[in-house]
Amino acid sequence: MFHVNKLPGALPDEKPVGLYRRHPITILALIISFIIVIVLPFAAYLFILILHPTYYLNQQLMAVFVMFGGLFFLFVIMFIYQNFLDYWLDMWIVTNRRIMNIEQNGLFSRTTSELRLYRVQDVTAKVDGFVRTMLDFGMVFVQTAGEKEYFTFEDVHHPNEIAKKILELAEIDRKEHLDEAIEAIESTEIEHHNAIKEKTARGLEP
Amino acid sequence: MIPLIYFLILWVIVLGLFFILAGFSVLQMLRFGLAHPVTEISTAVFALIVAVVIVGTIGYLAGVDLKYGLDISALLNVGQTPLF
Repeated sequence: MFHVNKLPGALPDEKPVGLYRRHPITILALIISFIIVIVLPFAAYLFILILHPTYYLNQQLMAVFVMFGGLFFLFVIMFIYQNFLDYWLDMWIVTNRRIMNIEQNGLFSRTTSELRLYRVQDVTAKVDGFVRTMLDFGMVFVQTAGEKEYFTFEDVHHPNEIAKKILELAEIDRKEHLDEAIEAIESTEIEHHNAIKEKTARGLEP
Repeated sequence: MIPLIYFLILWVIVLGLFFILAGFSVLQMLRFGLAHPVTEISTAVFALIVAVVIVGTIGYLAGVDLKYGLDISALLNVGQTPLF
């Protein structure tokens, strides 16, 4: 298990419970393309050897082939590495105090959001489709008090177990941090009421 | 006739661009990948493949006389079947 000090803004007495990523099957296409790219230079060598063996006699042409063939190979390998990075850096971390969603979008975009466990109200696990059912991976939707948006774990392994674990941890956290939980619910209600008042004033909500 | 040295200069420039992008990728991976063997192994595999390709290319180019040029028109027309 990773060390809690690695987490952004670690809370006191916080202990990591689980770190989840998408199921490896979701990067199957990436693994296949990696294998193809590894085989590609050898296949190209054989292709030219069979169809145009005289090209290997031209040293200048071969030098250009080697230079730009090598560059092409390097960029393809980097593209695969960056796609793997995109997969690997997307993660959901569950601790005994909160849930964190870290999402990497491309090389320079990263979103980190977190949710305190005592705010969790409803957790839903969803497994749909043949492959997901067979390999037991799917979505986990976590909903909090007063918020319409879901906190979503995408294509994680054993979603039902994760949902159950989050509910258990949320229950424990609510008991341990009862005051904070009540405060959060009250503030959410006040915010919610204020929002309703504003909307009512503007004639948006009855 | 295009001198090979021009191709070499272009190769070095594109390789420099590659190093910048690869550097950012590795930096992001090691910064945010948490302490996990897969983070280190995937980065090591990537670095190893890059090193093998670059060393192999330089090794090959060391044996090529860069004073000569590449005659593309002759390659496409004279006495040979075109490549494509």
